[in-house]
Amino acid sequence: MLLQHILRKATTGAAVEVCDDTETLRLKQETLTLEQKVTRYFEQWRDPVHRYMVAVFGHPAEAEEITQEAFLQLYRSLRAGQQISNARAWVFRAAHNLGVNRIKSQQFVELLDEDSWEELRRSLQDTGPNPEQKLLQQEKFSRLRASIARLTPPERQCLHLRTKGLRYREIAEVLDLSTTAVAETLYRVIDKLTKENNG
Amino acid sequence: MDKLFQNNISEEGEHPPREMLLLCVDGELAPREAAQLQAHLEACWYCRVRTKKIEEAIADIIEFDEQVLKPRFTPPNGWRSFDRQLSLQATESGNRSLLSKVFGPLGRLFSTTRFFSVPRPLFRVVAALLVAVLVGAIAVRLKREPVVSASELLKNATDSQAQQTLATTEPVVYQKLQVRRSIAQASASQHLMSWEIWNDQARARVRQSVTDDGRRRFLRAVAPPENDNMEATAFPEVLIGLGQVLLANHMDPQRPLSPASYQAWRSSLGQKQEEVMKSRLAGGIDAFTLRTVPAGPVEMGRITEAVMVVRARDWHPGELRLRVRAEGGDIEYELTEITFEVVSMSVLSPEIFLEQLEQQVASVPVVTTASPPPAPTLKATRDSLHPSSLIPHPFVAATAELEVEILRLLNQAGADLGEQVSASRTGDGLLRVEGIVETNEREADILRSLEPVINHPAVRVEIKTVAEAVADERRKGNEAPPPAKEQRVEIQSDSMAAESELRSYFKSNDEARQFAARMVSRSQRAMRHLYAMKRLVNQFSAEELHSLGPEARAKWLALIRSHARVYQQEIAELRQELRPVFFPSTSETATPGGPEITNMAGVVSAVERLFELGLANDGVILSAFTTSTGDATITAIKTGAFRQSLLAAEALAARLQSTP
Repeated sequence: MLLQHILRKATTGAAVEVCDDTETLRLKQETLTLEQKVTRYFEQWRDPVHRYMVAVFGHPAEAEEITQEAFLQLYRSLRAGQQISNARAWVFRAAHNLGVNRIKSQQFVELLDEDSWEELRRSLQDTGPNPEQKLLQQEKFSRLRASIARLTPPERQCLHLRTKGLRYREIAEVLDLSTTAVAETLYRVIDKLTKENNG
Repeated sequence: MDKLFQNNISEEGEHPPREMLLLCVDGELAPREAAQLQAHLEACWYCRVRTKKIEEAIADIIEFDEQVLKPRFTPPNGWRSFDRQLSLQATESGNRSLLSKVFGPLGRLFSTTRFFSVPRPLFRVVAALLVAVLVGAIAVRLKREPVVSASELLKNATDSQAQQTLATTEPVVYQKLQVRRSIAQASASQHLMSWEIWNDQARARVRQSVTDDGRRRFLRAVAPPENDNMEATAFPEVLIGLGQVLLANHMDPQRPLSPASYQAWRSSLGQKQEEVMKSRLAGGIDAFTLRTVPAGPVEMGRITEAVMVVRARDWHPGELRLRVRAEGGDIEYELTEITFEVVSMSVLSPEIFLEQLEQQVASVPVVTTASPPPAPTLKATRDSLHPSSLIPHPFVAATAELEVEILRLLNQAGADLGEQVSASRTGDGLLRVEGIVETNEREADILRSLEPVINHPAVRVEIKTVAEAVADERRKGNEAPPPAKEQRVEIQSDSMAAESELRSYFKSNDEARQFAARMVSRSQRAMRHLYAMKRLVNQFSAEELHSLGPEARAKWLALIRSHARVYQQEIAELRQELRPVFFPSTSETATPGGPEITNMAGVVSAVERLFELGLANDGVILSAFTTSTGDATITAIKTGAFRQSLLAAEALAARLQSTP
């Protein structure tokens, strides 16, 4: 309740800038064809969108297809004359919805399979600064991997969208939640990760 | 709001809640509040440390994302079809510019350089074309630089696998593969499934299962499906087709993703073109890709192109792609290894290779060249062949049914009402029950309640006392957290929002304060049950709930009903107590509980609605009986809308109890 109150005030405050979509603005000013604009946007955002999809839904190959499809949807919508003020949130939302409809297995997604994890552990051993620090870093990553695996799907979704740089209002738009719900969820995530990883 | 903010941060010994610190760190606070909080942070070491901890948690997440996830979450197909699809759509729309029609792919290649926005585009395009061709040729040349011959690659991979099996007594090779089939002429026609194979090398026995649409089925090994009989139709059509292709091309249907199988096909070819390239597997792992194309015309059902990707470090094959000539267009099979293990037969249950007629086990044929498996023994009864005993650790996977049972046991122990105990399935197929409880007695209580499942191979239970958890953290070198001093919900008679209404009704301040505390406490008790219902709903996907067996479904519904019952009682009593103080003259009218609930989706949606309603009602109670947050909330508790909202929550909770 308190959070809702604080956030209500914050998000309605005129001075709060939650739409940080400078790339869209820049694109508007250039004389590119629609195809080129979408291609440029695709090049800029495909990897973050794909990483979000893999982290939340798994299935890297399908996530790749869905990511491409989301950008193609963006192209089709723009071509049809739809006004899109925040293309970044729009694409994330399109990809997320496609993921929900097609993959439908977001409940238990392993961030990394055992092979990749083992590979990572070995690479950390090879590259870390000194043995003690390597060990600490390995432990930290193991704990984070376990903690993130324990998050609920909405918590994972909010977390991964936030790590991709989306603001609360954008995350709310992608996941069809209220900004308050996003703030509460992110707070819960940070609280869990802090408790589980730092004591 | 301002008052609340000041109360929170300016009085001695009080601090802003952590939620506010996170909002501040994330730049989501309004400027005025951000400035106030900043002023508090400058003055308060305690809050500076708390803020730093939040920032450290964020830094850890970003470090994990950058160093662990980013390098490994690369697109497996390298975005190869986007340009084509975009061009196709642009062509369909008839909107393509002349420039993009002529130089489409090249234009996109140079789009990041703002190439098309500068003057004299044609001249620059021609120059770029020359440079691109040159760079592309060099890149292709470098990428395709042979590092090892096809024969060497296959020999190394075969030797590597042989060593693994030799090192294990009575080796059983377990492979979990993702199988994707696509038909070239129908881009929408794709099929994806997971295929597990246990291969007992010593006795030439094979066991297989498929997971399709989230359901795992074990397959029976019998003669190849040459006739279209009933059994054949029960077998996944994709694997029947793949099996026929593998056999027709001299490959091994039981070890399709193996160097020996690839070599067998390769040896059967006459003229062929081959190349080995450096590449990467999903996750950025260095690999070699072997591509083989038979020369000359290829018959129907024969492979027109095969690609195998092996890990560079140990020559282990990770992917196999086969393009097969078929009527109506080529068919592509893509086999990606998810898990590979060589284990000794001694750690597996012998029943794994027995066929049985268990309900969950489909009686279906699989193309096989192995000797027939041993006949089922009398001991292979239904009980001993229950899936949980069929596949021993490490292959056993926790089911949604098992999860429901654990939730039921936790509910019986009263451990599902806000205590730090959780049960969740993990990506490795385990079901982890973890928790931190206050005392050793409580720990013993919970462990006792979990006794029926505690020895299940897929269940891992870790319940600690707070003291044990703190000691563990110390051992790991982490300091124990400072005692919590946050002020979130406190009853303060001097600043309570509904104070005037309470004073006019009660004779003394003490009575008013006790009433307020009782209302808050009752609302919170009710909320615990509502949160428990919400967790039960969120714990499972819609598909999982839909496919729960009748017993598990009944258990899950019973849990929902029991929480709904307590919630309804608490809210009814809360309303009765509030009535004389805030709405004395109103009469009670029945409120409909919404549409009748007839299925699981209806239950889920009713719980979601009840949660929204309950959360809002709880907010009104907290606002009225805790720190003042403004006039609007004082009036909220007195309104007819609030009373109706309580009645609606009660009616909805009653409707949930009558779910069939």
